[in-house]
Amino acid sequence: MAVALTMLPFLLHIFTASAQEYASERVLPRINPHFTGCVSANLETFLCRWNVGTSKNFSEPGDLRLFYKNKEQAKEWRECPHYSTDTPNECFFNQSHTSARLDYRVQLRSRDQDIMYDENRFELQDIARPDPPVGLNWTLRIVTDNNYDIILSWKPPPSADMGWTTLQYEVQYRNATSDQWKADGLLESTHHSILGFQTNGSHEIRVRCKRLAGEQFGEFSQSVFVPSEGFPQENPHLTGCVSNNMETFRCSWSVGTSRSVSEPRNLRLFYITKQLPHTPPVEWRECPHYSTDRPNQCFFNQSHTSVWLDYRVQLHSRDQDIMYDEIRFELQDIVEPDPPIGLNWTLLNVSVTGTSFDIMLSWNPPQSADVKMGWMTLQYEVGYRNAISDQWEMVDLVKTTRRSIFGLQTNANHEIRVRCKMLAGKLFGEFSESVIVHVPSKAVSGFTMLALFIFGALCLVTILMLVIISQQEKLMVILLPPVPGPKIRGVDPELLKKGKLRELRSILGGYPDLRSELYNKDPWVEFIDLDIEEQSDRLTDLDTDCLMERSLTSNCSPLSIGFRDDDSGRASCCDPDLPCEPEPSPFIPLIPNLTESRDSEQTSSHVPNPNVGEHCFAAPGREALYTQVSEVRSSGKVLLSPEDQTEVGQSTSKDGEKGILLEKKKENTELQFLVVNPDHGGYTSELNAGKRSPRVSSGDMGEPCQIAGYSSSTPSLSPYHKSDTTTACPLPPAPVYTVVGCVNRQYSLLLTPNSTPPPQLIIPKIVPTPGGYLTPELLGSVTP
Amino acid sequence: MPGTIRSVSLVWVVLLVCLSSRRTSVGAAPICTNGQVGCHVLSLDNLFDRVIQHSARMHGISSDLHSEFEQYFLPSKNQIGRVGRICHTSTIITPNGKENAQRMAREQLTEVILKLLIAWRDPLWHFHQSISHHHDFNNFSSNKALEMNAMVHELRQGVEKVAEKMQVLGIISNSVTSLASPDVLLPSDSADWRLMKDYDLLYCFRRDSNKVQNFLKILKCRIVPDHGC
Repeated sequence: MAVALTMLPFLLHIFTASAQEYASERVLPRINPHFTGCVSANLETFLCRWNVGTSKNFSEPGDLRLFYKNKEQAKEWRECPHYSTDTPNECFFNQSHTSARLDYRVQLRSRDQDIMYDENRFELQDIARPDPPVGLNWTLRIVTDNNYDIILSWKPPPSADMGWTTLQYEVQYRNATSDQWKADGLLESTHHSILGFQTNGSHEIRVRCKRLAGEQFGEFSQSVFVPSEGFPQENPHLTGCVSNNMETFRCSWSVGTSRSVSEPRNLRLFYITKQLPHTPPVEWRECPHYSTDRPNQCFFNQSHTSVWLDYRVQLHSRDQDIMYDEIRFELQDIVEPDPPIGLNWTLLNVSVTGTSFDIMLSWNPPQSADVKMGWMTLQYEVGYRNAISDQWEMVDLVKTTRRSIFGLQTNANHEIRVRCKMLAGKLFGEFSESVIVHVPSKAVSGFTMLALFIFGALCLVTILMLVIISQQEKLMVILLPPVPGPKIRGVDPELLKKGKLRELRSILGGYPDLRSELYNKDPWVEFIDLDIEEQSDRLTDLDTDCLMERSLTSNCSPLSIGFRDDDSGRASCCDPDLPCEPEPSPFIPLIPNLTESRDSEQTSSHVPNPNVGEHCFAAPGREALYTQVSEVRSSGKVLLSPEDQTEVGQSTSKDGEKGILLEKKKENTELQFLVVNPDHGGYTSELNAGKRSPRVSSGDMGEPCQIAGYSSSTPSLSPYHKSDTTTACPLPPAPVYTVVGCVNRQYSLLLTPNSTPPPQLIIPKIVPTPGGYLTPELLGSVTP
Repeated sequence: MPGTIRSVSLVWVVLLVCLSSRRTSVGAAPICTNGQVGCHVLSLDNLFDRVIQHSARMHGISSDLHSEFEQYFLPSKNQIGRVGRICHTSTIITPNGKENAQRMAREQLTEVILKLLIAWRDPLWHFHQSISHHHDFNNFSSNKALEMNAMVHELRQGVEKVAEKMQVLGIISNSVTSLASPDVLLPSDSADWRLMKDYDLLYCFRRDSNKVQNFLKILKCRIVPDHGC
């Protein structure tokens, strides 16, 4: 051992040196003699082999010696009992020298036992490797287009004692062209079928074996070759075993092309079930019943059928010397139930359009299967197709015997069939017979009804639209009546527009009494003559006056000329407006005593009052009547001019006064320059002299009432004053107020005595304002 | 006022509904296990139905798992010469056909079922462990294995209950003892399930679950006569 160790580095050195020096040359390293292996074929004998190595020339027998020792003989080394004669470098230990379960040591020594080259230690069962099987040959089972199946058979090696060891085999095969071996292992029997050999070349087959629970395989047997063509006749073979109810089964076979077995009963079927532990031994038995109705079939009834047991079925020749085929199975794996029976369908519904329909299929399980008790639990699969197409549509598996199918086409033939398999099984049974389903589509009814309905609805809608479009205006008026514009009585709507708030405010913000017209809810009140009887009485006295009054009251045109109030809210545009507002402002009474009667005249503003008749006038004397505004000065003074006196008739003082008053009033109303309340909007009189001037003609003034020398001063400006003047009978001749002095804070005109001769009438042109109201421009011309 | 009346009536209706539902829910009380009070007692028929359903489901799962294994791990079709499997439950003597099962004594049949179920307790547990540690298997298989494991356990409990009930009703004698230890059932020299490969284990379990399912059906048919038997 030490020698070997010391030699090792030397060897290495030589090797590397030689490798460096002789790079191109290959120098074999020196190898000592060593064991190639110890092998036991049957655990009763074994042999050891070695290799002589290359270091020395050990060609002579006896140069190398083998010594062994096992645990029993602890100290002594014994030499090989028998050096094999037929093969060199081999030592055989026979049964006497072999003991199992013992630790062996073998050593390879030189002749002189001075050098120990190699050592091996093992137990017998570790080195057990069976001999290869013998007698390998094959027979043909089936040939189809591209491949063929063969059955292989061999014999176990003779050295193996079957009682001692159970052998397991491995078959290897390969295509002659390739290097790769395919293996089928571990096999227990000495037959094996190889299926699916390709016919594209010859194949090589070999087999080897090993002990059951051993680890090492033995040597391979001799190979056999299977050609790719030129096969012998196809042998009889088993086509399959099938059970339909898990209680019985049948096996069938095919005769093949062999002529020798064409007669019946030349083939015999044998079977055996698996040997179970603790059961009596089983043996091969022949088919219990060869089928009479069908050839080449064997039927196993219930007493010969065992479920959950491994079956082996073999096909033999008549005299049993040739085994043609074998198959193995367990019964629950070969169950293929019979097809269901009584396939039936009912119509569920047809679609609205009549193009598709739904059906409910129902069937019954096959009679052979015991479903009621539950020995077999079945799953069903329905397939259907349009008779035109080739493709079957398969529906999901169901466990019940009913299934609905939706969406089949009307006016077409449909083919439906069903099959079943065991629940958790793998193989389906055959399909049942097909059932043809045909449903004609309903004559258009549903569809046309719908179409008609839609058409009618459309017509109705178009008619409605036409009606609406033609009557659009009226409908619009009915549905959306126009909204009247904003209006406040007496206020110009123009002022309500944007930007004219100041004017509006000024109009609305004046003295409340001045605005009585605005808030007077009943516009007719001011036109109602409160003392109509009185007035009529008075009329008898002062008929002309009253006539004039009435005529004045009824005569609308001069009164309301100035007002162009379209929205006044009065029924007639000719209704007299309120030009003459009672003015409670502290006027300087022209006639001093007239102030008391001011209040009583408040209500009736226009009507030159009944009081006119009651009171006597003080006719101060005939004077020129200043009834015309001759000029409006820029300072705001208004000049009055006397009227034509020819028209003034003689009458009683009262009449005359009345007449004067009337005339004045008329003028006033005509001229409408009375109340200077420009902010009061509609009810201020407007200085519209320019307009009025044409009217201020003698023609208009054709009232016969004479005005007794009344100074046509401002007393005539307001009815109050008129009345005031009339109430006071004895009046001294009043000064002539013919000039508007100023407009005071309350927008009242203050008249001043005329000091200057009435100038010529100069009537400045005043632009009429819209609506006839006083506008700020005019006001500006009025106010001082 | 009408609004308040309406709300009050609604409240009353709700209360009534609640009470009535509580009364009806008494029917869904838990199943009596050990003579509890207030629980719902199942009839033997009902018990059998539940147990059979459970076993059918277990068989389905085992079949699925077996197919998966077959697909992925055994592409070879040369099955003829293969070593026949010896399942570790092969030592349990089971009737091998419908008639045999029908002829077997009820006690024996019940015992066989219980033995089978008990014998699979450990192997399935280990199978699940090995699968869950193996990266080749997806979660689906692993979950199925776990489910299978649980189902065996539950089914065994169910069958024990059925046996109890049958004993109480006097249908079977008291010879069916509570079979707790698996060592009692399997002789020591039977093929150890630890040596079996996964595929073979699944094949054996598939076979045994089919046995259990069919035996239970036969047992039910004999004890609780139905129109189908």
